[in-house]
Amino acid sequence: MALDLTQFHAAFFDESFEALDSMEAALLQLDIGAPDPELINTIFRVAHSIKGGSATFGFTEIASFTHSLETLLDELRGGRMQVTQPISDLLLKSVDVMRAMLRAVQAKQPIDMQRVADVQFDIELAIAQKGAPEVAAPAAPAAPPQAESAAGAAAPASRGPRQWQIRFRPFRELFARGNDPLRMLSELETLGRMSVRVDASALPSFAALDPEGCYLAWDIELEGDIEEQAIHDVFDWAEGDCELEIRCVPSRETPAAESTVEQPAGQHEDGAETAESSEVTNGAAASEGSPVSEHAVDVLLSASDQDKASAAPAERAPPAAAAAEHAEHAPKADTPTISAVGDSGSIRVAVEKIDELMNTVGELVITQAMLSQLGRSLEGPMAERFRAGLAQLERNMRELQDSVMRVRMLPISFVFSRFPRMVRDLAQKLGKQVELRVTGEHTELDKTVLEKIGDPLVHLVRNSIDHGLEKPEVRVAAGKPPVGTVHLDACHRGGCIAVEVRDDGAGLDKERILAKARSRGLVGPNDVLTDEQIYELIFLPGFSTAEQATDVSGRGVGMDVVRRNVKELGGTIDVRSEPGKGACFTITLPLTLAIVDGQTVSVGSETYIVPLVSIIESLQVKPGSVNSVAGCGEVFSFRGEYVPIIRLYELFGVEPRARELHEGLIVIVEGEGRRVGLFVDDLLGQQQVVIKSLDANFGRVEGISGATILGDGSVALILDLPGIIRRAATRAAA
Amino acid sequence: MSRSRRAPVATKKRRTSASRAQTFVLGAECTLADARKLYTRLKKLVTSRAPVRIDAGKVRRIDTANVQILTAFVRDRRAAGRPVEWLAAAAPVTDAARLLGLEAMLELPTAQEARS
Repeated sequence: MALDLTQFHAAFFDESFEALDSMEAALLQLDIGAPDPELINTIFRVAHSIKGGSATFGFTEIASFTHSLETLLDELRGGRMQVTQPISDLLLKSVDVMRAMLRAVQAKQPIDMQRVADVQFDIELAIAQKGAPEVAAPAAPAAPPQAESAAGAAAPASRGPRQWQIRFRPFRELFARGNDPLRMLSELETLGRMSVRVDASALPSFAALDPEGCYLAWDIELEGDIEEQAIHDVFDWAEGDCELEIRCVPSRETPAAESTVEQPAGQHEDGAETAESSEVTNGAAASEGSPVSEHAVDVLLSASDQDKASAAPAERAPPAAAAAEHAEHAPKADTPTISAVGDSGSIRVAVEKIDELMNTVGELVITQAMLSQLGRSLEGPMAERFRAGLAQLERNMRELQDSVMRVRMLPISFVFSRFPRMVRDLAQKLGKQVELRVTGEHTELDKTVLEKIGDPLVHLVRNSIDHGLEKPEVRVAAGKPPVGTVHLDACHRGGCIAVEVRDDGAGLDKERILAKARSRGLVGPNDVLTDEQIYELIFLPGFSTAEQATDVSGRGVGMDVVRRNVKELGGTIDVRSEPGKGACFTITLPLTLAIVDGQTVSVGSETYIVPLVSIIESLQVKPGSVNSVAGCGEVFSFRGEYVPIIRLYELFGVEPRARELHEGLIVIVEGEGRRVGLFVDDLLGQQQVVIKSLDANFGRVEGISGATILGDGSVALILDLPGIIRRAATRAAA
Repeated sequence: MSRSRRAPVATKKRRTSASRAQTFVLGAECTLADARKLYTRLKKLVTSRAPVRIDAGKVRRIDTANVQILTAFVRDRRAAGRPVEWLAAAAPVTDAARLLGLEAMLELPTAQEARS
């Protein structure tokens, strides 16, 4: 049965997009004229890997394009061409093209071949013109290709030559995941002088061979002025699909080499067993390498290794184990052993698996709630012990849930990383000088939230640069530095994450916003609005004050979409502005969309869940402290501010137990910067609830963000407070 | 009827004489997508008593999976006392064998020459 390569496409796309991000980041760091060779190497390897992967999967257009790009990069890293501004721009354009091609292929859409051909032409033209004086590389001496590949031209000359020993043990499925050891070895060879020994002991008889399984393993010695990261980068794409050890051995010339070795004792013991049946299968793999490798390889080629190789990857012995018996002969490594599997401490796991796990945890939360409810009704001597056990269960559940949640968490830098490029391009386009400051990029949030927050943030940053920041001359005239600043910041606030987009531009123009709103009839000619209310107007559909629509922003479909997207995530967006000093948009989002801490409230026979983060306070109002205001319904005074009351039973058409306000309770909640009091019969308790979507089966209901199953098996609706506020406002207006 | 009975005999005779030299030509593209096809084709030859000659002169691209198949093929045949002869090996093949440390196992022309 032929291998269905399509099952690995997703992993290829994921890795390619990540690699393109890092390529883009490296490109943005490139100094024009004096680029860091290591950065060029990084960029080259990304192109090379994508080329190889796309060729494996039959994406010929991508492979062809990346081939041209790779040629250009090879010229750059060989010093035969210089990194100029046009070349830097061209490389960035190439990233865009590759991204677009990958997206098209991923979506099974046709590739925009015209765009590809244009950029490919530019690349080939640049290569063809490399001899021209303006693009020649005067600084870096041009090495002939062979010399470069033998000596590792790109490696920095700071540390002097080092000898690396690499044990590379691919897992069986390595090929199928789009990795080809040949490609890696070929890349390694470009770094320095390399000698390779293959371990073919796991290669079964031809009849038993799985043609798409990888049975070979390699021990590689690499010598040259090579940074460890450069070696890791070569194996970057195989991470999780192999065992990898990279050791630095002092150069053979260093006499003290033998005395510096340290190997964990446990590994010695483990390895003793495997060392007994040493047998070199590939005796011809001669090398002038150090004695260590010969011993180590002997052991690696042992029959017991074959056994290990046929075991499941996860069950494999620690890679460092094999050379144990010969360790006393071995030159000593001066850096600890590094394994690709354990190296970064991370593995790639399909999101579906985590979602499944999360779902199971959700079910457990429900079961635990059910048990808690049962425990409350128990009596007798065992009841206390039962409740203590339940309390323990609850603590453990919370820990489990936190742990699973953390698995889904990713740093917001995944989103922030796209902005340096965007800001650079926009600033260039608009003739503005912009500095992007990013803080809090390590703040983590749920992957689902992360994926959806990107677009709103892009819009805000675009708006800041297009509308907020002034042109340099205007800024100077206003006594500001010519370079404007856009500051992206993320931090945790309570159970939420707050993401701010701040600029030091002109701030929102209240007069223009108000004038525009009046001209569109959104605000009455005599209405007096507070600053906050004026700023809120920009979130209305179709509202834009841009003098002319640009392709950057100002199509009038912006801020309302931003707010809607944020709202769909259960978040809010607020704006603050100071004339002449800048504006600040703050998006507040829940950390996860899967589980919410909720307050259960009862209205008649129904139970509703109010998200705890939205609750300010719950109180009972005194009779007479509530006033009726025409057009606004009932309001009551709460800490010096009038808060409208929303009777939930009216909103949802439920028969309540209490109709008089003093007979029930008011829950003060906040949504979209507005406070309202929800009138309910009673508060039942606080608990974590698992959000189950209603959209899939029932369609979207304003005011309801989802449902959950309570401990007694009944279904409770989870309130969406911004929706409730809107719904109540509509009712009041009607 | 008589003709149809005789025909297989004649064919068998021809096969016997031809079995002295079975030439296997590798395609230009030897990537993972082609690996199973290569394996299936070679499987028919691995236990063949006749000598096998491989022509890898047209290969433009080859990956580790394909080199690994060839390695297992050559090794098994050699172990059974039926060596494989290389008629030609294009640069991608010899480069791949060298990089993967499989030159000797594959007994490629260059490796053979080197030993002699």
